[in-house]
Amino acid sequence: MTSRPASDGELDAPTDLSPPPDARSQGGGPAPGPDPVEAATVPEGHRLVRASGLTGLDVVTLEGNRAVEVKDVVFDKAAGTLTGFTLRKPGLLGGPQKSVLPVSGVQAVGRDAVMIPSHAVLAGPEELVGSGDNIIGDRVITDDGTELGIVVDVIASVHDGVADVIGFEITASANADPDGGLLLVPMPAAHSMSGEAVVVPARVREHLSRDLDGLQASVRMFRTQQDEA
Amino acid sequence: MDVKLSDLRHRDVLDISSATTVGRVQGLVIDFTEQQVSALTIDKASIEASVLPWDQVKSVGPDAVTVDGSTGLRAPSGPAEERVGAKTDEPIGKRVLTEFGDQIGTVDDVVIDDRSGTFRGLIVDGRPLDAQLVMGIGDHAAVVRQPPS
Repeated sequence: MTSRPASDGELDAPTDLSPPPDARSQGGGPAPGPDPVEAATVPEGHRLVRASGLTGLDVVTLEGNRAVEVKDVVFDKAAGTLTGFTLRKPGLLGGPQKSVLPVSGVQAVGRDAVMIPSHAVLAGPEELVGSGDNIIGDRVITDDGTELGIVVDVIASVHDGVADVIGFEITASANADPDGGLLLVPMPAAHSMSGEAVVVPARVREHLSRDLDGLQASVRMFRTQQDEA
Repeated sequence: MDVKLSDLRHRDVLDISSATTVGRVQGLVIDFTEQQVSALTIDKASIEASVLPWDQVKSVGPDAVTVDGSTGLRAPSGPAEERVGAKTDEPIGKRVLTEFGDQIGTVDDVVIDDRSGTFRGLIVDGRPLDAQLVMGIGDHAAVVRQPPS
């Protein structure tokens, strides 16, 4: 691991009380200060999103114009980051769209739309490192050799041109949870990924959760613990 | 006085110099940076006279918008005016998105001051939303800053 996304500074330093400087403060008004640790993980106004849930979202400029919608999410496995989005024309019959949306051009990802400053942030396909959503189907295995499950979704926080992959949703193996079902695995700051598996520290097993709030707490706890280790 | 687009629309535009109706109000062109109506658009008029710049408006009355001579009417100029009249331009009914990409409602109406042409804000799901919070209204949505909760 040589390159980490800039946002990891926030995540790895939960004691930093100052909120990241960004455009959100413009219209914010005197909002009560959020829990600093919370703010360090996912700043106010942003939420964790499932990568699968982004397909079909409208891409809208801050002027209210729409050109495209999200087709797929592109990851760079080597860096462990989400690099951007492939696009399609709106509508069920929407054809492919050559241009792509790099994460650097994303203002925010909300429930209902991906916000961009203007169409100028759309770029040629060569601007995106990585390929498709092929993390899906990878095995998640601990460094002591326990398979936790198979990746079915990726959980990320995307805002102000920065994407942070927070964790994975997996179909739990019997080793991870005898009850099976879906589990959320926090993404450690240090990890390795290949075309076939994501290797995580064994301690991640103590931080599995079943909902995004739980994942949020896990990421916080796990990454804090990791700092102290 | 505040006036809603829905009340203003279809109001006659009367040329008081000739006592003839030159058309009816169709829509508004708003400069969101200046928070100011820059023009009214006119239907029942030729395309060459479909834009009435706000500075050519003499008065916005309860029954008619008056102009003094029709020479101030002109053809659309620039993207904001050119798309006026297109179906995608209709602000009423558009979704309202925050700058963070969350939908908070739909536009019920657009409110302006009938004397100054100041853009006063939107009515969103029955509630007023101050012009200061409105970043723009495009072909797809109105985008607003996160309203204080």
